[in-house]
Amino acid sequence: MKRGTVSSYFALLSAVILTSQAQAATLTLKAPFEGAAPAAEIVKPDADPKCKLMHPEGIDPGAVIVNPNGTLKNVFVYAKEGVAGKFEAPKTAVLFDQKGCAYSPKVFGIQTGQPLEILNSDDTLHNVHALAKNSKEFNLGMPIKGMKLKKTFDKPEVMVKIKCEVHPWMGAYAGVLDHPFFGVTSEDGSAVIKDLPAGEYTIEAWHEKYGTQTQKVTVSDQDQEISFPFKA
Amino acid sequence: MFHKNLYHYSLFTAAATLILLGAGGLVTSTGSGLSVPDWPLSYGKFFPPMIGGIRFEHSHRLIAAFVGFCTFGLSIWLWRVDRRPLMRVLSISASVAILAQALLGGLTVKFMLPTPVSVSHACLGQTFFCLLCVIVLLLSREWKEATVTPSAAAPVFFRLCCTAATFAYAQLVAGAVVRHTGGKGIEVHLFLAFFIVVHLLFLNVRLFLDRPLTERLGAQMILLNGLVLFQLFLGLGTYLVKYLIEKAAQPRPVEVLLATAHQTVGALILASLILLVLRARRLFSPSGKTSSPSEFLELMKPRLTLTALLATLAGYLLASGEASDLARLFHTMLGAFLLGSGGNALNQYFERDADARMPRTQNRPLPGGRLDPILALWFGWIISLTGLLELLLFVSPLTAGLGLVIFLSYVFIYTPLKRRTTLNTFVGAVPGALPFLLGWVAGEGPLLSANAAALFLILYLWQLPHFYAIAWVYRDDYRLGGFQMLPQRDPSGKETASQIVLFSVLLFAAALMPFHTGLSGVFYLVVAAASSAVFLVLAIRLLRDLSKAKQFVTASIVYLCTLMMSLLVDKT
Repeated sequence: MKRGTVSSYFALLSAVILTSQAQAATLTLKAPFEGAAPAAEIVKPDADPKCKLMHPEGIDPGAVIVNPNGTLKNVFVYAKEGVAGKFEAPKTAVLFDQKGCAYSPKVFGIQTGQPLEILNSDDTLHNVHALAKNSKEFNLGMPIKGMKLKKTFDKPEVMVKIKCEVHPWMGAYAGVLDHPFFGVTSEDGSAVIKDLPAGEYTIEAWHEKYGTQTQKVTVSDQDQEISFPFKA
Repeated sequence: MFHKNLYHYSLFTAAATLILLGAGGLVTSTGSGLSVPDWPLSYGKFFPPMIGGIRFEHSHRLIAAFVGFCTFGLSIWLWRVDRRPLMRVLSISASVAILAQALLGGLTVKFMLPTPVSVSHACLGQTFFCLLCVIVLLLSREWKEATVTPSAAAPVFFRLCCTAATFAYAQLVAGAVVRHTGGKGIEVHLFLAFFIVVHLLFLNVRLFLDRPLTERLGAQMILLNGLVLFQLFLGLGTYLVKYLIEKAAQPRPVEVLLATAHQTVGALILASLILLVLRARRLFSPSGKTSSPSEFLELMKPRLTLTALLATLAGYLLASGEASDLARLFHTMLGAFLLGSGGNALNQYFERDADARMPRTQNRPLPGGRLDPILALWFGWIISLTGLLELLLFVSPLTAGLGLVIFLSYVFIYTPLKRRTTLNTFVGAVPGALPFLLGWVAGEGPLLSANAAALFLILYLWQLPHFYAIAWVYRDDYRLGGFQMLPQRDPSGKETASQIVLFSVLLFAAALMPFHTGLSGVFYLVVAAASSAVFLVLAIRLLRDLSKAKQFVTASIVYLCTLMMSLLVDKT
């Protein structure tokens, strides 16, 4: 290799590194689902007459939701490795509702220090038990309709299980992170991570039933689409 | 003094506590421990809506409050009327325990079920129940007015009970850990279960071999056995549905029921063992008859059994040709020995009154008063069944079946028949002849064959002159014992002697049969014919002089041995 070629190579490399500091891209993550969706395990909410009234046919705890376009809902995707720097927690709260004897949303992401607003929209008694291991665990009663509580998680943890001790079928998962690069697949089976700075990342996809999978991604200024295929 | 009302009140408190234990168990089994996040109030109220897990958690709190008040009442009442120092300690402990238990319950809710607190809550709950059961026992009429019975086995039984109760308490802790950690330490739990069952078996043996213990503690022991058996099934069921089947969104009713029953029955077993410890201490004094091993040996009539065993050995060797399979031969001999010994022990148990009347037998362990009859009965049964099992497991079902026929016909047909009819000898000759066939079958000789029939016939017919002669020799004894033997209705002995001759003639013919069936050769034929002729001559001599009957008995044994030896030597 000629001397000139080597030096021009290094020049190019340093240019890429320098410019990448400013570059960022949007990552779109897809969760295609292969195979038949498992039959829902319908729970009879007989223990609470008010839940029974709202769900006379029974409740699907909703561990697996396959969208009409053959994708998987409620997959939590996030940058597991590669994120540098500190990120201020947003002041806007994540709303976590207890409605129709179920949690909404069932899977969500939240930043450390970001307020979690817990609401009871049901005319029945709920309690919310967050089984956090890194942050402080809490178990709070919400006996009155319209009651609100604010809580925060102070340490990252994927995932924190949240359950209702009165209604055992009610379960939700919170992905707690110290950065904003996460998303949850929606009704079209995709999630978006915005403004991800250029660099090398390990992206993980988590699902309640089908576990986790990871991919390494190099981000530049080009928007990318990554697929995490899940199998029944 | 027995205080009836106080006793009933304490019983009521203990029963309410058992229900409380069940209710507490339901909270854990249904996973409702955190359905009410606050304590001591429930959602800030005395009565929250009873929905979901709140039903279980709040019911548990309500029952606990009730039991708490019952306990305070009990403590006050006891303090006023019962001045026994132990009772003072117990009554204060009960109130302190229920308060501490309530606090632990509150702590486990506040700190969201930390394992150490939940396990302590579970253990203290059952400890409190045991405490109440002890109070009930100490208030009972039995405890206050009991007379002390001497029992030799009581000290050992007491110590065994203590160990078993200690293991049961350890089992409570292990069980609570398994329950509150979702299956951790289940190996320890199983291991302890094994230990407790083994102790229970020993307790049973000790208890039922001792008459005073059996009379006073037998009922509780049987109940305890039932509880432990039930508990084993519950434990197995809980394990199957909880840890082997995939978890459901909410605990299945069968899971809840099994796990709750398992912990509640566990409490009953623990309490029962503790009460057994105390009762064993209170009701017995360590004295009375002791039994030495030599008495048991005598009970087995080892010489008689060994004689029968020789016939079994001969049968085995005749069938298999040689002792090729030593293990099988060993198991045959051991099984037959145990079965025979057990039969002899049971026979002596049933005839202990008759034996006491006969000079020849009145010094046997049972009539001599050196052994408790109930001990002999159990010993006989255990030895016989062990022998049967030995034959069944290590030899063959057919051998065991034949063993069972010998055992039953000897103990339950021949033994009672001896007192009723002189025909008993014909019946008794069957179990007398069968040990030989037992060996034959064990040695894999065909049961339904001419050879087997010939050999059985020889052994059967041999018994008749042999036992008639014995009956004559001991005719006075048998009369005293109340046994119906031919010489009893034949004072001159003419009929007895004639029968001996008659069967000796038949025996002569039977003795030649193995040659005809092809079992043996000419050598045997010659020896059998010669010895049978001599035996017949000796029999005919008895017609004139029955006083030689004793020598005839000896001669009959020599004669039989000669036949067997020549059969073995000249086996074709």
